[in-house]
Amino acid sequence: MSWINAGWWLCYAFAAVALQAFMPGLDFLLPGFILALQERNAPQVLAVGALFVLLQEGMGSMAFGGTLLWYALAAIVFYVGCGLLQGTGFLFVTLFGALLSCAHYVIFALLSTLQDIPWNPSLLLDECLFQTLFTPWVWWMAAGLRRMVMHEDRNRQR
Amino acid sequence: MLPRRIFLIILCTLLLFLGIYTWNQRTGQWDRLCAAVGLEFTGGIMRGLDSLEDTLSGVWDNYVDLRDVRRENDELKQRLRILEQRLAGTREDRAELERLRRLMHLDYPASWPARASRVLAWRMGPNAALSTIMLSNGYLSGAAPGTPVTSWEGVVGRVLKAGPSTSVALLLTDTGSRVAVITSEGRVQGILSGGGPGLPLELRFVRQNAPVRVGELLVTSGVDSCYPKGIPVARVTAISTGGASRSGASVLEIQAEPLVDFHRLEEVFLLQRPLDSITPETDAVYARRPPVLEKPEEPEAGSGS
Repeated sequence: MSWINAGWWLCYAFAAVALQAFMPGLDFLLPGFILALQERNAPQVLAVGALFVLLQEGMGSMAFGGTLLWYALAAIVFYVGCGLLQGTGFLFVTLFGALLSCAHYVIFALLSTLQDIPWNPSLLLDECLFQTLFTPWVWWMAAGLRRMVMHEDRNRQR
Repeated sequence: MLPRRIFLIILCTLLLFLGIYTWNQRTGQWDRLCAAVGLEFTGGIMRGLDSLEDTLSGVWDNYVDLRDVRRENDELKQRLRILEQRLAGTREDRAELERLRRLMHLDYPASWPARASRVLAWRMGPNAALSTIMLSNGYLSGAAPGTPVTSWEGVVGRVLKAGPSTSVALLLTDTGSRVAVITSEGRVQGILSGGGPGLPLELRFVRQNAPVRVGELLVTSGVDSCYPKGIPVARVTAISTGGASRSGASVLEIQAEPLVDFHRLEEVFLLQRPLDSITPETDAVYARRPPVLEKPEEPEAGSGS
């Protein structure tokens, strides 16, 4: 992983955390993880996934595990989905985001019950719907920015 | 990919997750790691954003938006005069109280020193199931888990988890929050529990004929050893009869509203436990199983007289 690449992921994490402070309940790191999955670079997926899981679990208030399971399922569903559809298009990310939001609802409800935390089904549903709406657009913007940054990095390396 | 292989991968992932989850529930190692890395990183970002916001709003407030400063200054001077008069009155009362305490050989608990802390953010991310705030102090600067958090108005909550220089505090309004309180006039004790965001607090375990009135102030009783005695917490807003505890005893159903406006919190105080104070045996910040208040069974028709 080059310095520019590592810097890009850190900047992305910075921006995503800042956005999460303004929109509670949403995960803006997930579109970045989808982007990492699409590049099919295993060390990068592991490094980015580990950083994002630590960040989400660190700022959250539930016991460790929810984000880890969610991101692990995202990776599995992504590799399975790539066998059926082209895994880089906007439509794919929209469907993928919707599926992950459903998975988030189930995981969160399950873990809240397991930890004796009362949860509000309508609030969780709203958050999942917003997550479904935001994921493809955040991914689209991040992918565009990343193409620009990495293109310049490649040009400089040549 | 074969369906059988996919099924096996999902099964292995779930088993691995259950292993990690169970191990973490027993040891708390992953939670500590996440607090040390994830919470610190998030706290660093929020601190940067906070200082940027401070600079921008400072420039606006101190150099541009100075329209009502003179009028505000006059109002503050007026208020200062009133408060100085009140202070002069209470100074005599306090001296008298201390003399009486000495006469009666009454030991008064040592005061809890306070440390100021900034509110960096409210609940963040998909794992934010509880009503919490992020603070700019961690366990290295007086915000260990269990530390009471207060503001000028009253009790805010307690520190739930802490990294070296950032922490997360559970708010009074969360359903897992419990505070031992006493009414300011009738001296009736009870447990104040959170009702959830935007909902009133509930005062539990108050017997049916207890002298509690609407508008009365609830202050910490100090019997839980988690908070010092006498900090204002909430104000009683509604009282109704007809509740019953699990043992069947009749109790009052009392609702209260917190004194602190949580949406406007910017700075808070972290109260440090004095060395000679009692440390509670069980110091869980989040109470997992709320006690259930049940309606008493209706007496059967004809069973009376």
